[in-house]
Amino acid sequence: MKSFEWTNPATINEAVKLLATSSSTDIDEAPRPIAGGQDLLTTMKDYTSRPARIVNLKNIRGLNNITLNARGLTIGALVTLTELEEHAGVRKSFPGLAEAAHSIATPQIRNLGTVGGNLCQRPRCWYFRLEDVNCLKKGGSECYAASGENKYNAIIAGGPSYIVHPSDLAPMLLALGARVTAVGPKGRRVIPLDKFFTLPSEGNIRRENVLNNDEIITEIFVPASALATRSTYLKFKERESLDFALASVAAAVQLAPDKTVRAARIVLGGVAPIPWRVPDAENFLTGKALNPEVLTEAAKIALAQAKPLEKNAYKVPLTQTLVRRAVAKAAGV
Amino acid sequence: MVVDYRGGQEATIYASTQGTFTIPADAAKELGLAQSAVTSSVEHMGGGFGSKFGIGIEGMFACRLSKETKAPVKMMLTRHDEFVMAGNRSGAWQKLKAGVKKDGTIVAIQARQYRLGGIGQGSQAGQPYIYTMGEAYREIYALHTNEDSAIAMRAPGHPQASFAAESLVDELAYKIRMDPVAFRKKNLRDTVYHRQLDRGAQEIGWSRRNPIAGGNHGPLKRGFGCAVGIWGGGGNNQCKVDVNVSRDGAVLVAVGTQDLGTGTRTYTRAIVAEELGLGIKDVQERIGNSKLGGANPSGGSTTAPSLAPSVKDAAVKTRLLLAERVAPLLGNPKPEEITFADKKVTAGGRSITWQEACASLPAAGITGHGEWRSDLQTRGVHGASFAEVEVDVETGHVKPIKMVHVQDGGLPLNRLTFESQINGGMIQSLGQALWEGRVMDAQLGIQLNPGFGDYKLPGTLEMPEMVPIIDDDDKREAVIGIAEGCNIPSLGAVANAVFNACGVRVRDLPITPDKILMGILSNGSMSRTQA
Repeated sequence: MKSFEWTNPATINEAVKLLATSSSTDIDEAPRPIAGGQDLLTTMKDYTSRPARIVNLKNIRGLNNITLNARGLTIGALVTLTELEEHAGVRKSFPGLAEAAHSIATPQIRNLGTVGGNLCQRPRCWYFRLEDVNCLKKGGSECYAASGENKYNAIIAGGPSYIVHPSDLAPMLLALGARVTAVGPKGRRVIPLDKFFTLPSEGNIRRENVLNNDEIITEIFVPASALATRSTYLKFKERESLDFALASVAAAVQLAPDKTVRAARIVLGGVAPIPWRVPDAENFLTGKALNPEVLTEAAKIALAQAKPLEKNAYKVPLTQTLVRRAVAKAAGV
Repeated sequence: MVVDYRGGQEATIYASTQGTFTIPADAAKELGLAQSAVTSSVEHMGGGFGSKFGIGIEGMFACRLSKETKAPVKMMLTRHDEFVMAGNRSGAWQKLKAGVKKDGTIVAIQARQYRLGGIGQGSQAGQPYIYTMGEAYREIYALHTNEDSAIAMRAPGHPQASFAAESLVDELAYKIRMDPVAFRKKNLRDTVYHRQLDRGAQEIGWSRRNPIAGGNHGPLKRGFGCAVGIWGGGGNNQCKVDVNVSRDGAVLVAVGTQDLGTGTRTYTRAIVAEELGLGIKDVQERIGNSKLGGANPSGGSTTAPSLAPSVKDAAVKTRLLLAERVAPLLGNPKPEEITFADKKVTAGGRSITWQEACASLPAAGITGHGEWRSDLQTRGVHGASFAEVEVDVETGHVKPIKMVHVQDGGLPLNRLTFESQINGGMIQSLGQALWEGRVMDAQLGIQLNPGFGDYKLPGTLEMPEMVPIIDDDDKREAVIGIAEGCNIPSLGAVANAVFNACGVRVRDLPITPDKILMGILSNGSMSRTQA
């Protein structure tokens, strides 16, 4: 780990100043905010990130509250994953979010890891994480996963980098229409989650979201909805005890009195560089009664854009299974 | 490792080693000292599994640093370094072809075996492995790659050979539609395996097995598999043990051996305590120091059969020495007529306490010296392993449900640690079967998963119900090493259970969901193989 300066701001503005006063614009060299540190520290140990300054957010008051009212759910960025998964109101009105939080890592990591940090964690791609490899996302010239060991990489919307987004909260929050509040030197901005994550082909390939180096997430708002109460998150891990998703599906389904689908949200995790919403599959389901044939067809539509690499074609049938099961579970059929 | 050298004529090395006595010579060479001037201390070992003999490259550097600086040096490898420079289990690639008669007799086998030892030789037991297979032809090659050298790891070369052989045997059984247990018995001459297979089949509930691979209804399909194991585990003549009894009744057993976490300390005490009629708390052991009596390095599951007979010999001699001393207090019976039990020394109806007996000793107490006795140990163990798994054929997920391992081992020194060895073997095999594997990038020539986040060991949620069974029908009154034998068959048992569950034969470890799903897709409709 490269040595660094540890700073302890007491306010958001101080924190932003400490993040901004740096000559480096390179995400891997710039000052970094730390909350639970569960991802940042691993990237520092790998020398994937080499910040000269760490800005500790944990002394800033007011960022660790969960507020639930008729409008919706406000989650402070410093709320831990454990607090989120155990919150009675979240479990009742946003069950998929509690499930997503519970699916993450281990109890020890969830006790420290925060909601803000979970959304901002860096990719798990082997090539990105290895100190020895200067891949495209680190400023190199090649995505080694494209033709290398790409079992865990993207099957949708990949290229020129084929990372998958590792967050489990992100697909669920996206399905529920969440928005993120971020604060930077120019003040506060609210970013709908569907505008937050960036594809490697669109945004800065070195990053995974629209935040600037001197911006920090302060809270996430999730609107209350009938959909949210019928939400679920299915995550497939190779190893139950501790693993990232090979694929996951966040689903929310609202049924009409006649048991046809009034509204559906389906977002795929672990298969694309960003959480990947599949509106075609949602639209297909709307107005239909759910039965095995309909579920199979919706799953097929959800993966219609998949272009697997050499070693990850299995993700297509796997994710199709998860789509079928998640939609059925959310709808209670 | 800590090298404590401060520029004088002596040094002490604190090492995590499987061989206390493999350290001083290596270290002395690097430090420029006489071998006798270097003491190695192995109070706590921390786990061995085969790879830790001698000081290694890391120890060599620690010694050189200490010599240069004339100061103690502590050397600890990072996890990354452990993965890429501390040696690997040998890889294997094997191609097998066999012929079988309709009655289940295997008549011939042809094998091409590659040992993938990186820059080293690698290891792989030859085919046919355990089973009698009639005419046999094999070619064995060492294939070198630009990877760290293979190093000993839990039954070097055996799980590799076993996985291939057990997969082959299973496939042959399905080909001729014969029950895999019956088929194995047909081709195993040693009847110990027959009784172990029967016992294991009963414990796992083999009768619940669907003979049609993948034949169960629904997406969650149960399957059963089995396999057998073998090991030598005999001892050798290197251990020199001293048992000292003090005038105040204290008992100390001393030998330079090392405890890899297997219970060496426990049985070293227990054997002496039993012989002298004392409780285990009445005896202290001192081990893990090269200034104590010699002992063999712990390789090949040889520690217990080498050490236990020497400890027993020392304990018996100590008892007889003590008996000679106390005979006058008991009316001068012959020493061998004096019994030691329940902290009392008794003969001809007269009894004195242990403390009273010891009070008669000279100021320095007495010391009995033990040497290895070949008659108290033997070699050759057998094991049979069974696995039940549940495969989700729509995701490829394998959930281990239950594992049973029946293992013989002569005279168990401690039933709890014996069972722990069996459990450990099942867990390590399960990891090898379903999760573990170094991933190398062929273009870059580097390991992509050098850490325990990406090199996946099974965790608590992966553990099935585990049933370790000591085969008490083994009546040999002799100590045998069993650890490595316990690490061989479960790998094949799990793989065969996966096939029985879903009809996909994964020949490339670990058996991960991607391979199962792609196998199911390429099978088209599920193959209806029956056995």
